[in-house]
Amino acid sequence: MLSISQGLFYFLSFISVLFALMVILAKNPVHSVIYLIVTFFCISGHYFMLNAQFLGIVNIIVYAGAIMVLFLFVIMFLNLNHETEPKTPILAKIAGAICGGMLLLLVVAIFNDTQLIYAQNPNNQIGLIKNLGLVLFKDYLFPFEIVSILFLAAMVGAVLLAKKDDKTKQSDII
Amino acid sequence: MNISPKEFLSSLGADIIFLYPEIFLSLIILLYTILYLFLDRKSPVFEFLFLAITIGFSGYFFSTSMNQVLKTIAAGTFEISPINSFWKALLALTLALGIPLFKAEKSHSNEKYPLQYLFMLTMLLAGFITISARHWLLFFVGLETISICSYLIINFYFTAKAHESALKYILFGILASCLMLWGISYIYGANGHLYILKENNCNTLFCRLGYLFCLSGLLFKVTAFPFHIWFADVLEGASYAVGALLSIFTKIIGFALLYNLLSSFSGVLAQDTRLILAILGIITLVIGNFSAIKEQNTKRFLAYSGIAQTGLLIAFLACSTPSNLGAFIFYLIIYTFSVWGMFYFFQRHENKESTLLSSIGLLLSMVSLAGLPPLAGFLAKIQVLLGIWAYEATPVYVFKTLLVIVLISTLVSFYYYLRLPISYIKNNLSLPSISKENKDFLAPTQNDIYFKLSSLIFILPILLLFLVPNLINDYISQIITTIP
Amino acid sequence: MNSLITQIPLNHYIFLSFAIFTIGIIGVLTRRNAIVVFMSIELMLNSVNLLLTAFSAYKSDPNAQVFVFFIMAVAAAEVAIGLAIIVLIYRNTRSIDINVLNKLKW
Repeated sequence: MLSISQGLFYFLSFISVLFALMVILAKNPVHSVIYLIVTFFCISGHYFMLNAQFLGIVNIIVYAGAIMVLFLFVIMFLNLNHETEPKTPILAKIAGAICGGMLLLLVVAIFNDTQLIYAQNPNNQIGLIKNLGLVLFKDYLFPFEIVSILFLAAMVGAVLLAKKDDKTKQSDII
Repeated sequence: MNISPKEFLSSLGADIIFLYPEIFLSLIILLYTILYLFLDRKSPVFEFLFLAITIGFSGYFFSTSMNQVLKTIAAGTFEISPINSFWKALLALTLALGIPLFKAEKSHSNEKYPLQYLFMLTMLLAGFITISARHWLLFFVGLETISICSYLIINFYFTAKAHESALKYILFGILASCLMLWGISYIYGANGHLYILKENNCNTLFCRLGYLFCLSGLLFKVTAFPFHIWFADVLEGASYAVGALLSIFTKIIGFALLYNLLSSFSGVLAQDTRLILAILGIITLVIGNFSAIKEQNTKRFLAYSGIAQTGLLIAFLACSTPSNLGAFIFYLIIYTFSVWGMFYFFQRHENKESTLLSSIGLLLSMVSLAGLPPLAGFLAKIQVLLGIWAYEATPVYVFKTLLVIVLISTLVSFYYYLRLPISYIKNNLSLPSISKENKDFLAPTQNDIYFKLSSLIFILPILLLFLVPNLINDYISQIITTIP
Repeated sequence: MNSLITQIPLNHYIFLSFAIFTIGIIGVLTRRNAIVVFMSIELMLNSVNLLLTAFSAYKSDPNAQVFVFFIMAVAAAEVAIGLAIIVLIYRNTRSIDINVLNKLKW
């Protein structure tokens, strides 16, 4: 007999795998985005069940919120919501699926060989903001500052790319 | 778990002295961004600042490298050591050498152009951090910063083709870093921590698979076999300067990290990794050389010859021992000068400014890359070949095949490295006045003395180091003695 | 909820993340629309995040959760740049197919 949490786990897993499959099978990119958002919500559910509440919330805000809105914005902006993609040959599809399946078999076979060590009585407080904040600003302060440089470069770069260049035309350079 | 604010600040204060170079460089990056907003975009300040910073850092790290003591700071995530300082100096020097190429680009008059130097400085900072990282998180963040800056820098050619190359690069790059993260999570699952230790050994296949996936991120950076496909396409779309940057700067970082990682492996893990690297080296060599022979497009040819060089270095890594790190470093230094030179003279040719001097310069740098006697490339290649020759390992047939393939491909490379420059020289001899007629084409900065000076910078080291290799060999052997 | 970790073995989470990762790989290999390829890569990144979080929860070690936090941040930056490049290409060619309409050889 399944307990409630086991039932919830299998339900969320089923939904997330199903919608992940639909992301890559959907013809229309907008549908893919919607399915991907559902998958992200399911993964957030898994985070909550793993007592990683902070990550669960950040996942919803950053992935389902910011990143997917960015995707949706670009698709709408470029008006790509009709099926423009040329057909992949059926042989290439089968080959891709076989490659993926082989990889899955490989990692599962290797994993079944392995005995992982983990804590007998896991502490369910570690995913709270207080604990993560202490680790983040104590041990990982330096990487945290470095990420700010990464964001500076990314921000300057994104503005630079998206901004239209009025003075020099393409034809001048080519 | 609890820590008072005072304790927190004091724990920072003790370590912060060792982070001064990195902090200084990040302040410079900020300053550069602000200068770009307020100064005239055509002003030469940007180049001078870039040149001063890179040469300054190179000099600083070269001069202080011997005084460094092995030490880890920032909660064990950041390592200071002489060999790391040496790699940092080499990275800074590499960027400084690129200035003549970047100045000669035709798109140099575009007002967005100074930002390219900003991204290069960010790459340099990220390179410093990745080289020193002893923690997978810092390693990942540094490597991604380098990747993001290189995705952006390709776009500076401002053509449709450059943007397509950038898209292809970014798709491959994220895929490779995803595989690397996948590997890191395996390692975390097996080891229970995220530190990159000095001694890594794992008994389980699961953990070894993790390290293998981890290598994929670095193999992407150095364009080794399963991840070499992007290189020719990306180079074809990028400018010569950026192409050279990708084939030198990111490769040196990749090889330095591969060497660090490989030298920390022991036991079964080391055996497995060496075997895999040997096989990948064989495949990379074959692909690179045979694609380079039949390639007609110049940029794609440069890419394939770069892949062939990677194959040789990967093969050497598979056979590396602590004693022949010197040969590896010597090879990378010679490679840096020769490849910058090769791209520079090809760029002259593409800009229709080809002279007899530039063709001879091209010949010299390509001969050095091929590894023929009157140049330093010969010494470098001989050392590498001897290293592979002397290495004894258990699956003998793999390493013997490796040796045979390396020898054959060295012979093959003579053909394709000599073919182009000789035909250029013939052209120059028959049409001596071609550059005079096309004076309008010249970028405004390309005057003759400037060109001669920068040619000298690329050619002189490879001539000089053949005659007196001890100029750097003494320094290298001193550095190597500091490795525990 | 607290007893959940003792009710579900770690293996289940690992197999779940293997499955999502494989789906992502198949998507990268078979789709040609650059945006859908990007989305497949996002799927793969999420499976990595799930795997790290599961390990972290079962080991009672917060380090990996901080790592996941960093992965999310970096992924957001990379997606922003990737989409900016896609917009740029679309302006020039009116297509974002990564194979056929590309001037570069694959």
